[in-house]
Amino acid sequence: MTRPTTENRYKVHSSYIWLGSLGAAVALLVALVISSGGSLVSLIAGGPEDALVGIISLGSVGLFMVLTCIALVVVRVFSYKHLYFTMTEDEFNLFSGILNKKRVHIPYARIQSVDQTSTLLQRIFGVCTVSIDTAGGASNKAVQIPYLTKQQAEWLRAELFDRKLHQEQASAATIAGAAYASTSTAPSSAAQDSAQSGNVLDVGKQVWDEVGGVFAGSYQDSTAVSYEYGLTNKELLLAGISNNTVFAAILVAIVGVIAEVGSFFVDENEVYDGISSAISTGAIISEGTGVIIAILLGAMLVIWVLGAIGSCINYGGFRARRRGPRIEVEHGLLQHTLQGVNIDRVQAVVIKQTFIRRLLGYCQLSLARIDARGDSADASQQQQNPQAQTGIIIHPFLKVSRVNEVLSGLVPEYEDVPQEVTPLSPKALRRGLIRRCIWQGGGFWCAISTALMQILIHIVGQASIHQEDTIVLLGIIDAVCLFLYLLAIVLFILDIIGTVLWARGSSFAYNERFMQVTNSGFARETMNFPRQKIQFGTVIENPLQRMAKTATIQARTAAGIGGTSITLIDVTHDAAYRWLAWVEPRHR
Amino acid sequence: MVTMSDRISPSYWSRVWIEAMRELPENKLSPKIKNVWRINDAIWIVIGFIVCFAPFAIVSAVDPEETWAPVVMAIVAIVFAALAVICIAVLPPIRYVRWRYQLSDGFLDIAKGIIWKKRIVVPFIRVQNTDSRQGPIMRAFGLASVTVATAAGEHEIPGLAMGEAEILRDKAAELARIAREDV
Repeated sequence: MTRPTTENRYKVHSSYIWLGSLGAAVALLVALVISSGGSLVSLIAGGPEDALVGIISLGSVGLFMVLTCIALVVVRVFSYKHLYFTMTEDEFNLFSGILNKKRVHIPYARIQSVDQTSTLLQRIFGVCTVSIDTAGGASNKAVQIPYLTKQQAEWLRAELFDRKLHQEQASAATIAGAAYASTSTAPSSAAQDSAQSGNVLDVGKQVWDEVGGVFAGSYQDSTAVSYEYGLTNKELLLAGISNNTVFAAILVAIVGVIAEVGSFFVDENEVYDGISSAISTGAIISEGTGVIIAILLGAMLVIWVLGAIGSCINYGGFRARRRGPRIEVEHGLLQHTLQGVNIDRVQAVVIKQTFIRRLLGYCQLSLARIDARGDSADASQQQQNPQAQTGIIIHPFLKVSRVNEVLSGLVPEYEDVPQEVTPLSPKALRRGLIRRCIWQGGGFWCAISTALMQILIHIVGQASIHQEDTIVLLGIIDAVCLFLYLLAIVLFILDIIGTVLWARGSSFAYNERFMQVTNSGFARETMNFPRQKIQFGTVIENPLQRMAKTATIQARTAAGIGGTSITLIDVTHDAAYRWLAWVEPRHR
Repeated sequence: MVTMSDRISPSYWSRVWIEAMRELPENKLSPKIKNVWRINDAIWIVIGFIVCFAPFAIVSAVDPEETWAPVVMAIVAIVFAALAVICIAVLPPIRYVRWRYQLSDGFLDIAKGIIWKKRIVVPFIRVQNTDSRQGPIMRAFGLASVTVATAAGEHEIPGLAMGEAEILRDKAAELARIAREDV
């Protein structure tokens, strides 16, 4: 154990002081402007005595603000002085705290991934926050080092991974049996042609790269890149417009159309009833709903366009590359993120297709890893990681036919995925229909509750004194119920189609080293994960499953926060237990 | 009758595998665990009963004319009596019979569950830590439970005799150490 000496103390950039306090100062200013608004008003509106009071109060507020800002900067200066990190032979240390000294140790071998993020402001000045993830216990917090210059950050990342590798090689005997023995055999010739593909927003990235930011500096990583790709224009655009809000918008559109149709039927019905007042009410309602739907659709469209632009900017400058044993993904035109993970820390490769992507024949590729909740020494940095649940997206919008090509370039270790798939039990479809269309079926329960509500209201309506109003009200309620029934039927049919797709498309497979689970339906998700990463396996059967000779299999990996269960319902009983036997460690 | 051709076919061997897997793990918990479960459940039922019963008891004490409060009290009492019978008389023996575990060379095998039967295989390579725990009720019966934690959740084997629990914990820890690997 070497003791940290003053020579190898590394400090963060001095912009920690002023850039860090800038955010807090702005927040303070806003708060003060709002709070002093009252005295400003009195200053303008009131007489001379009021003006005097106003000036005094304003002055004191201003003084208070200046003092607070100074205090803030002073605190910042002191905490800057006490914030540094060292790298000893076998661990990384981060020291912080003015009065309460804090020292965080991270052994190199425990590092899961090293990410760097920068907000727009930080990016302009060429600084960023580096967060080091370890799989540390239940709280699983990442260690964040704020305000490193880009050069420092790149150097730190390379250095950490390098030291980690060295340490692992030193203790190579223990990991000799690891599946990822040959990480350096990534193909390099295939890399170059796909690296050419780019898009319009890459220009923005190039500008960033050239200008860099005020204090960025430059650092050349020595490890060669074996595979790299970006997004084409088409991929970027489609990834932008097919993000989840578009699906919501389309759903709203469908519902709107149904509502229109429903209200059309309502009009018909009420003509049939022959009550003139009801006709006019119905007409007004349908007109009103038309306007509301139009407004809703318009709002949805705006949200969707904004969301699309947002995610285009988010994916702008997207770059995924393989550098030795680690995978790096960077994206973001304004707010920059760079995620780096070592190949042996990847828990699973996930191929995800939403319904829209499936129709278009595209999918999203991501790597599951052990995620960390952001923990920050710097309050202004505290923000929820939007991709916390999805791991690292290595391609947001990829043609299905190119999946193998990209995977073999970026993660050649996962090339050997099992081919021989085991489908679900033949009984799965029947059981699935009962489970998903009735017990969990939105349409079924929608119909039941609507029917109950309608009957109840009618009973109450009959009991009350017969009046024109009651009849009109009942007419309106019947119309609403009709709409709900239609909705229920649509949902029910969707449930049935989804279940059939699920039963046909879901499967699992395994070979020596890997397991693959596909859960289908309107959306489709395929997970490939090595046997090594299965923490434990479970087979669950309930009495009904026992009768049908089926069982549920559940593999648990450490991906995400606190672990992920990969579940497949209703495989045959025999296949389930054969799989469980496969989970058992074999004797070498 | 097993013929030669049967022996050669792979489906025969997979059938043998499956039959071997269907065999439940060998070890049972200590029979005393049934009483631990009973006492534990009894405590919770009593607390739940008091919480549900007391408001209505107060209502009927304050206002004896109220006719609905005694009815509700009776219903609550019946529900909790039924719950008590199920939790104290019916469930513990079944739970005890179904709960099995086995420590093989490389993995921990657990079978449990009454309606949802679960079969869990935890390879020791993945075990992060093991510990033994003891609550006050368990201590009174001289029992302890062993917890085996992986990077994504933990499994508890409740109700082992104290010495046995320590042996089991140490064995699990030993096996986990031999097979040590990183997440």
